[in-house]
Amino acid sequence: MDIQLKKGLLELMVLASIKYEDSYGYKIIQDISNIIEVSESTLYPILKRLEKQKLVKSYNTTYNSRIRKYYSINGNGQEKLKKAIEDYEEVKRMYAFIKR
Amino acid sequence: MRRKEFINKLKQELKYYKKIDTQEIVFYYEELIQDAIDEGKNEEVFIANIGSVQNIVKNMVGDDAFIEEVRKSNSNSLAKIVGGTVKIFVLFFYGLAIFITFVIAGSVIISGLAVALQSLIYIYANSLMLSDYVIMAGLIAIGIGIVLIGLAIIKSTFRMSQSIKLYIIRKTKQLFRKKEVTNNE
Repeated sequence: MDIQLKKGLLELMVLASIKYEDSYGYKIIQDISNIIEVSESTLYPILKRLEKQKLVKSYNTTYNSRIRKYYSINGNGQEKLKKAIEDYEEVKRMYAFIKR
Repeated sequence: MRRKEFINKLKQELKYYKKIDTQEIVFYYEELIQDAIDEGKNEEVFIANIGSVQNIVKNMVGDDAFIEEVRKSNSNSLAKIVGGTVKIFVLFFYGLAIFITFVIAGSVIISGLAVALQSLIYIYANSLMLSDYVIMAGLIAIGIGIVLIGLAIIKSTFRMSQSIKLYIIRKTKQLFRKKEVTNNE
């Protein structure tokens, strides 16, 4: 798949994976990998980018007496997801034309 | 490869990249590997699947540019507002630094010339003994040496000026960026 396109979609997938509950690196990869293959080294920059864009927030908690970093989506992130879902109809129309 | 070896390799590779937050990345991979082990995955297989540390870092560096772009496109950022002021500050200090260096170099050159000239005049004006000639020749040589030092200062200033300028720009930007971060939080 086109790298730029995939980048954008993976960002949305990460947001979607924490839409209902906060999650952590390993679990996010597991959840996304069910749909599309994503490597550990791909996820890090995505999380970092989402944080920079202030779409997610991260916090540390202890789990099994070690620290685990959790990611939680914020209002802006939810907004972005909503927007992406709205965009979908448009994307579908565009693809219908591309596929013609 | 076991976790410890992998993490050490990663740290080693990240050493060359100052811009990257090494600690954060190391935590990220340590956590991932530990989570995988806790899930019953084979440590060595999991680490082998992560790929080479060189690749990891390469991916990240490529992405850093992207982060920078995103940061820049946030038009309401303080950096944009202070951008002009920063430039003026930088140019002012840069100019001042260059000016001071040239004044110092200039005075060094002049004093060197003065020593050499003085000695020459002394030779012509007085009838000297051989030993005096030797001393005067030494003084002329010292004068020329001092002039050369002055010239060297100017030359290295020219050569270094670009990196000095970049250094000042970087430092000033960092200062303002820190301010920006604390303002946002």
